Amino acid sequence: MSGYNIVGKPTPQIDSRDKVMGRARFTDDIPLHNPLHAAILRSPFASARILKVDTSRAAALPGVRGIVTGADFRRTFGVLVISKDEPAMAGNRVRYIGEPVAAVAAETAEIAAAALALIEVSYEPTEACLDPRVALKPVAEPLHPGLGRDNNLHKRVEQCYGDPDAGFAASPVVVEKRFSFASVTHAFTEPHATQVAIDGRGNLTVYSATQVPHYLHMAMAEVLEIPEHRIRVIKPHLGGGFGGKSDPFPHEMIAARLALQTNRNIRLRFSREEVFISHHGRHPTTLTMKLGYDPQQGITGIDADILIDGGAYGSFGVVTTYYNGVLLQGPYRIENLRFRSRRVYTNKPMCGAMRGHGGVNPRFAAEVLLDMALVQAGVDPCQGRIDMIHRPNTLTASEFRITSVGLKAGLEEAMRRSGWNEKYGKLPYGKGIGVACGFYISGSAAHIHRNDRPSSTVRLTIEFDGMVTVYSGAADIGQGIDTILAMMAAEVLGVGLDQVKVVVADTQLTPVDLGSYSSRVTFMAGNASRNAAIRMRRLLVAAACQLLELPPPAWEKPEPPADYFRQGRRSPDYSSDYLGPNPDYNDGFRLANGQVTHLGSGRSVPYLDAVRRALDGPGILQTHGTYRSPKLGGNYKGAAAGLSPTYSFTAFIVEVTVDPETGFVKVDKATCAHDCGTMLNPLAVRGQIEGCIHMGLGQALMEEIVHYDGAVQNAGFLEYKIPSAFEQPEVDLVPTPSDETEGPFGAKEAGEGPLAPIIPAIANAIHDAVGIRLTEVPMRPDRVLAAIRKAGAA
Amino acid sequence: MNTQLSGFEFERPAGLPALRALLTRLGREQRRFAVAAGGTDLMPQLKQRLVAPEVLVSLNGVGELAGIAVQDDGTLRIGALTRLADLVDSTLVRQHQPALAAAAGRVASPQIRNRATLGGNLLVNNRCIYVNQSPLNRTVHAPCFKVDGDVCHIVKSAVRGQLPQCQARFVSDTAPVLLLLEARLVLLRGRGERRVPLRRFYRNDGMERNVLRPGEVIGWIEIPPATGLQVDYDKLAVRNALDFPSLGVAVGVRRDAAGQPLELSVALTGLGTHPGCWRHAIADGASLSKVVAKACARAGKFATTYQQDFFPRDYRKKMIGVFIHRSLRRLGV
Ligand SMILES: Cc1cc2nc3c(=O)[nH]c(=O)nc-3n(C[C@H](O)[C@H](O)[C@H](O)COP(=O)(O)OP(=O)(O)OC[C@H]3O[C@@H](n4cnc5c(N)ncnc54)[C@H](O)[C@@H]3O)c2cc1C
Repeated sequence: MSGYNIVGKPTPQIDSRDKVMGRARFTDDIPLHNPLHAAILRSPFASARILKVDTSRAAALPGVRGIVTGADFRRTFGVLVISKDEPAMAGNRVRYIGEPVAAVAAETAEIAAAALALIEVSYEPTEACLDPRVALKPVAEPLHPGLGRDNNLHKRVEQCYGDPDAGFAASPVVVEKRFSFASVTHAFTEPHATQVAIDGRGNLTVYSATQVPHYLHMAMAEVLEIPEHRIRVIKPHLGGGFGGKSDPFPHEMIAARLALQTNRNIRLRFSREEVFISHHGRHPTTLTMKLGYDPQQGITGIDADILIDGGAYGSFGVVTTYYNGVLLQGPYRIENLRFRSRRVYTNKPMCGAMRGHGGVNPRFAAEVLLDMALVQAGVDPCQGRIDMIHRPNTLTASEFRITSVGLKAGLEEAMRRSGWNEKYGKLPYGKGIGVACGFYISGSAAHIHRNDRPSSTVRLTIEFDGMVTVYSGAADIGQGIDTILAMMAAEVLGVGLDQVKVVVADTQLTPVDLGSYSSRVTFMAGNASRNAAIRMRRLLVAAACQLLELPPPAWEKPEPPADYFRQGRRSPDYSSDYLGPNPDYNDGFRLANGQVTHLGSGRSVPYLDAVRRALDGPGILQTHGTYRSPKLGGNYKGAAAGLSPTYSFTAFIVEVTVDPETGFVKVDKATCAHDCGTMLNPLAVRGQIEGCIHMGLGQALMEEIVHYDGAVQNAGFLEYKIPSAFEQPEVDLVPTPSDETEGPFGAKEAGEGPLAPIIPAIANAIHDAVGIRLTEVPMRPDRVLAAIRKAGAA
Repeated sequence: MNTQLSGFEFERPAGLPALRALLTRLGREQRRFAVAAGGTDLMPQLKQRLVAPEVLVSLNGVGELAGIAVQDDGTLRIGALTRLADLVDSTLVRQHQPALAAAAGRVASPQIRNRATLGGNLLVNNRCIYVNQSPLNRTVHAPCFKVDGDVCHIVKSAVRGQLPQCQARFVSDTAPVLLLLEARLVLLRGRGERRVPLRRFYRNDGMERNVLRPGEVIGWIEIPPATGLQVDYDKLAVRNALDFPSLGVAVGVRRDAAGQPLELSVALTGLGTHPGCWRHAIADGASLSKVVAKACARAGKFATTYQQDFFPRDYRKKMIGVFIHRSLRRLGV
């Protein structure tokens, strides 16, 4: 059965009207009663000891109600359990320019700002470590002495699968290059903001622009040393995150601490400069990669040495360190893979997760090298790639379970639609076409916090009026999960989208979802919503049977397929969540058009009658649904990195015009084949892909954070260049379905995967246009021009 | 924390006489004041605390200073308060000086051009990545000359008081075209006015940027009729909108009645502390390509530009010749 009512129809997001009309309330729009205004004093030193913080003059300023410093926090935190190294406020040392040192809450924002100027901090500057290569060398005082190292290494991962050296030795083509990638940041629209309301019993309600309400909830309880039940976290409408709001943040702790101290509501919001300083963006990276290729066998080996600059604290950095290596295992078959990946601490704003987390920079290197190898071997870059794409239901070197893959057909179609065969290698000088592929996780199979609870749980109710409400902790950050939650329920229950409300991202009202990161929400929360709705559907069908005087349907609990590819290993809980494949509900009924119809007899009852009958007994109609990943992967240290219940696959064919006199690159057209399984909401998928192109364009051609003595010199949108609408190319989306069975109605992720390959596709198109290979990103005009001149001179 | 303005008195004289009276009074009282036209350059500086006036004088009530007219002798007279958007759309300007409309159309973005004025554009402050920064950023690095400190982060050997003491770069998009058009400024003060040719207006320094005296404002920009002169403007910027010129090049060609080029002129913005402007006569029978080469070489020499832009300095220098040649192609030379 495939005739969906809701799924697959281009659907404007359910909150789009509110957003367009200015009714949607973002964190800073929430009117709290008579709040105090908080402001943060930040370190002007990249590295210094704090000798003394004197707040007495600030405290004496009329209108100042509260002041906090590092002394008010005993515990450090971090999104990963394995690196809780960040203080809410600097204690006895500062580690980057802009680190919070003190904060004030005052009756007005003006008073708060004036008070900051009255706080006296004595610093003793110490030598700053700004260069990631220097960070590897022994140093008297590492940033984090607790790690017990004599240098600033944070994390080192070395893994080897197969035998790359043997692979290289037997390869007709081996290519190797060194690449470097600038520091880039998310550039989301809404600056960080947090408001904290406190009630008479000392309970906190925290409104925050966060992608991870649940993690914030837990971290806050830990840092403030109060029980979790005293904290309620609400994520209001959110203006973009891209990973930049997927950690618990110091300012959130600070606002809450100020609320507890003053017993007043607190309002705190960032300037754009503060957003840049808080950063958590993509790690600046240098890497050397070697790739072997044999036209008969495909990629015979990859060897990569990766150094990523983490900045002052851990954030998601341990995961990033792994991802930089393990995400080389797709989208192509590769048995021989070795990598060493190291993350270092430096005295700069910290890096963390950013769209395409960990996979973007090494993907660039791999796709450029692969392009070189294919050209050298005389193999067409598209055809050569198509031949190596993972086949469905395979295991990769580190046991990524690759299930559905639709990219082969997608890329073939993209070749046709872009006119690849007529263009590649045949365009006039200055015009070029290039290709690159990628893949990405669709949620992480392993939890950050080890526990056996589901990754996502949804509660679903129907009231006497027939209104369906989905309660989910999932955090809509603009990507549209609220709409997906509603679509899942509407599809299963046969009601219109206007008959479903969502109550979301409120830790008091909604069950736990782990958050919007690692491209997990549509897959996981979408499944949970679908499963809750299926359980609800059974209640309605049972009620309809009563009304129609039919025997209740006998549901057999569907057994998940037993093989590893369907169930994973050791999955005691997984089967209890399993509700059968999509979307054959196996109940002999059709729910549509306000009727619950028995297919066998053709008789029906109105939906509302079924609802009311079902309500008769319990007085409440409530179900829940969950999602948990099958247990996957091997048993060694680091085996869990990159494991996902399924993966998306992407190919981009990009056409560019390179101005050989100025080096300017214009991306004219991007043809994208993105396999996200079923497109639940094609409009949202298009939005994500266009956004990925735009963001990729920025990293490819212009984005770059500039530091001077550790300070961010371009902390604003005038000097940190993100593309404008002018730079956006024409986009052609090639339908790329796949046979995904575990995603909700067959869906996989679409938010991150399409980012990585656009960047090397541009590089490969530049090569086709003017014959140069760029290894420094962004591929600025001056770099393009220098390479063109060098190539001309040679 | 959000950036807030520091306190100041606000004056908005209604009409020219009121403005003149106000300027006289403020001069007499020796008040520190700043003039705001569109405010698109001034506001960011106020927010970043780069300027802290006691009194802010808005010109926006002085209607006499807005508007475009052709005088009897053919001079195009543009009020300093004329918005760039109006300049871009003006049929008079498009007809008489299309290059000016084109240059004005390359400033910032449509929203900003709706507000920004021509007078403000000629006076847009010189920029430097060490100066145009927040107070926090400026507490990190030692304060430089331009913010009353005693170092220059660009030329470490620079000496305060010795021109050019400050290397902040000149960025006005309209100045180069107006220089080639031999524009004059009508400067007003409390009583009286004076005319200064634009080519004498700017000084070789990022701080003491021009010869405008305290208490003077630009009233009008006058462009004499120019027969046989064609001007082209193009700028180097990362994006198609919003960006200040990393380099702006205006190229002019003056021809005789028969269409023979008589003079080639070049003006630059975005590179040094002030705009550069050169004229090269094309003698009878002289080789045009030699004159072009000379013009490129001259302009290239002027560009003692420093690394304080998205684009490296060498690249920007290289682009001068490329831009001159492209302009000449567009001008049909
Ligand atoms: C995002 C952004 C991008 C920008 N991009 C560009 C660009 O690409 N090219 C460019 O040239 N500029 C650019 N600007 C700067 C600015 O917008 C323009 O230069 C604009 O024309 C300034 O005009 P204004 O009327 O707004 O000036 P204001 O801000 O009002 O004034 C600028 C200066 O001139 C003085 N002033 C103004 N009018 C007079 C007068 N009549 N007499 C005496 N003094 C006066 C003011 O005191 C102030 O010092 C940009 C600004 C922003 C914010």
